[in-house]
Amino acid sequence: MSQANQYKGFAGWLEKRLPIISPADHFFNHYPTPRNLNYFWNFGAIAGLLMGLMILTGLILAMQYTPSTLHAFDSVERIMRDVNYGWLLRYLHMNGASFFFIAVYIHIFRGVYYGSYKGEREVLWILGIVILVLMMAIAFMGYSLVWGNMSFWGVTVITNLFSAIPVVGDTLVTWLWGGFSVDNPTLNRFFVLHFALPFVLLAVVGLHVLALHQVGSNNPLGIDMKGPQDTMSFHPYFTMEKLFFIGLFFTIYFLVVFFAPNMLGEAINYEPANPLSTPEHIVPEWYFLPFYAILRSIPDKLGGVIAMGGAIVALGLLPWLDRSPIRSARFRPVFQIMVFVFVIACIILGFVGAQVPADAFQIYGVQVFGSLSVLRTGQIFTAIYFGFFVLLPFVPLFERPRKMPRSIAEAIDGHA
Amino acid sequence: MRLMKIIPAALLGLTLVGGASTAALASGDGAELKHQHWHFQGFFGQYDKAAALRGFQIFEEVCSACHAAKYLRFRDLEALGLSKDQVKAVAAKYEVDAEPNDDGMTYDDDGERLKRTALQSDVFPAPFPNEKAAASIHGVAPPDLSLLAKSREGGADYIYSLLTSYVDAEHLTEEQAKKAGDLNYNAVFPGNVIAMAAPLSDESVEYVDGTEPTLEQHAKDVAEFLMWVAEPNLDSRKRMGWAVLLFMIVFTILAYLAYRRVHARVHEEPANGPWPLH
Amino acid sequence: MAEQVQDESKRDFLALSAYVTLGVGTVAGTLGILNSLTPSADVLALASIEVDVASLAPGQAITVMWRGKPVFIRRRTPEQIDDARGVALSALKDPQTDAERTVEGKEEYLVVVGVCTHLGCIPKGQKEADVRGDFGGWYCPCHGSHYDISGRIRKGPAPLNLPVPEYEFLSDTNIKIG
Repeated sequence: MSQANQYKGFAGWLEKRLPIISPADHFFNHYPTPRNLNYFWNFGAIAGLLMGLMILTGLILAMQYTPSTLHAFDSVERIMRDVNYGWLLRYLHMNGASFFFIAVYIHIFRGVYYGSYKGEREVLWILGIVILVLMMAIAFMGYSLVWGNMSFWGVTVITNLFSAIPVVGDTLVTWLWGGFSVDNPTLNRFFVLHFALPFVLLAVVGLHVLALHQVGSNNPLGIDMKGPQDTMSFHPYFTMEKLFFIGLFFTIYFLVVFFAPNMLGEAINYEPANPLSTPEHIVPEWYFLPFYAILRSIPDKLGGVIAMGGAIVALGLLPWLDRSPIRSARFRPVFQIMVFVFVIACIILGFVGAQVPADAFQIYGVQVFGSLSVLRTGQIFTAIYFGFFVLLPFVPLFERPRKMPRSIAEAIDGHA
Repeated sequence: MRLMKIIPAALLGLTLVGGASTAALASGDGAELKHQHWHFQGFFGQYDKAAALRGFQIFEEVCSACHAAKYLRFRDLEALGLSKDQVKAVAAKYEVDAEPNDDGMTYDDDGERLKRTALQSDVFPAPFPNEKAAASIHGVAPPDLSLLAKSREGGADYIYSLLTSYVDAEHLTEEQAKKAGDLNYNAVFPGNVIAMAAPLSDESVEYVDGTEPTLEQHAKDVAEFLMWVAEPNLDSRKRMGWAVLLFMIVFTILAYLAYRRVHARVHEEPANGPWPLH
Repeated sequence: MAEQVQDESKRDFLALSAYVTLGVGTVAGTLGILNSLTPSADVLALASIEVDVASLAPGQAITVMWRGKPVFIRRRTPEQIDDARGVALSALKDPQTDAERTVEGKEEYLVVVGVCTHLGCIPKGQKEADVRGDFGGWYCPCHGSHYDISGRIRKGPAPLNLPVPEYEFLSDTNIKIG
């Protein structure tokens, strides 16, 4: 605060009274950004924008929604039919959740591939995992609000997971429900939490960005910036690029919203919740499928819950599990292969989560693993999922890194 | 480098189709649906209002004897091309439960529910007062039809296939007949045994507009109608979708050009940064 | 140098058009979202109602709900009509003749929104037993506003007459309000 106010006009006037101009200025104009960022570095901004859109559409939808078992489904249909542009708001919100997860999953993949959790980035990474967990909780509770039959049974099944906890499990579930089954009190509290938690999410995202600006961006080479020759200003170079990618991403998003809004959803959720009739296959939304597959792969109830939780905890432990001093997978031949296998495992687990355990596993009708059952496939790829984390600490012992440039500038210009 | 540019797109695509396949895979058993060409399908598809109106006629004369459609209001029919007066005339054919009268009564002295003529703002009246009453005939309550086309895998195709896939008692194999018992055999219905007897056949309804009344025509029209009831805003959604899409394309191209322009300077200038702001 | 300046302006133009497009999109989206908060189709569907007044005897009144507010329909006796017509405009706070407040040929029926123009209370006077104020019309108990048999403010703090809603006679005894 000792330095003189360098801003003129209204900005200067305001900065003197409220120090918000200089952080914003720093953010856009004086944030040294690695020159070599590739397209993967756009998904954080896209996710942030989608979060804003979700909060905005959610706020308006909440003004039209009634959180009561008697009226929830009807009020959603009223939004779809009678509220002006209600169908648009609802489809934006419903598919927005999916696209938010798409952006965040790609963002996480980028973080893993380029080792963005290394170099004083542990807190940044953990905050990211907290964001993921919050998103999952919010998405899950949001899905329940529709009060369709899949909503109801999804909530029933997932909240019942907590009953696996020894001794207090059943009490805990009753406490969660506010009754002896999923009912009005459950819906009402889920509505309140679904409304309130996004603001917590917003705060954590703020911290995530703060932590990023403290440490600085990682880059595809995984080499720290050594000086101005390695950097570019965030604005306009990266703002322009982000704007372009936001355009691309939202075009796809809008394609789904306007031309196939129910593509990612379950048809049965257009039937009102019926506590007497369980849908034949209970399937969560696609973004939960890999975790759901891990849950079902373990034959023991408590074991399944621990495995599912462990799948996320393991991600959070990456900064400590990965002992290699080299960040980017580009220079780590073994790690590179491991990451790709890990991603494939996640995708296959996604397919596993959508299918009936006893059936033969298939992708689009093709039994890619012969007659191997869905359950077995799930178990194999769950093992691969966790194998990635177990193997990670030992990789530096035998991995021979590729030759690395000494600096970002050298990699681009040929000399430092 | 090239690879890393393709991967985000590939991942995005995979995630999308992966999600979409969830729905497809979950549907499971049931015979192959008879896929029809629907007027409302595809990027440019809009409802065939004449067909939907014929479907409404079938709904009125056949379906509504047992099925409710609790989200269908008479005023909605204006969207199918009926005038305000025509809608009023349709509504006037029906009676709905009256509001409490001046004495606060909703039943008359004989215990009969007080009724009044339906208004445009009213919901199409349900055939049964509650679910138990609805279930009393066949043992299961006939499902509400207002969202059927969205709550069943296959949507309009499913409805069309179901209505046209009944097998007559005399054409059933012994095994099928045994399976069906007192109920009816349908090749498309999950489990094949359906409580609803074949509701439509040739000439079930004499169309006002003179269309030939075959079973297939009936099934197609009523499916078009039910899709419209389930998703009444499809037409305006797609129209707006095109406007939004064009806008996004223009914006994305502009942003791309601006981005190329900005970055061109990075490559033109010698290696020594930092690249200035302005 | 000149080339660079030209370059600069071209870049700025492209960036500017991208920003402007983004701005237009954001504004359009925001307007759409705000538009969603205007009365929805189910609310608008109830914006006009039809009332049958066949059972109303001279001197009697009924109250119907219209757009969430009470509407007073009073069938007036010939004496009451004469009374309402005999008032000099100069005696009125909000000058309006009785003819302006009724439908020609249907002067018997007075249709007014039953919300006091002072602070929104519901005036008394619909029932025979109610206090009808000094002018035989309605009396608002909240702050003592007196309305005459034409629904005009005569005494008390209310600034305006009881508003007459848009209405028409569909038949002899069927009124469409709104």
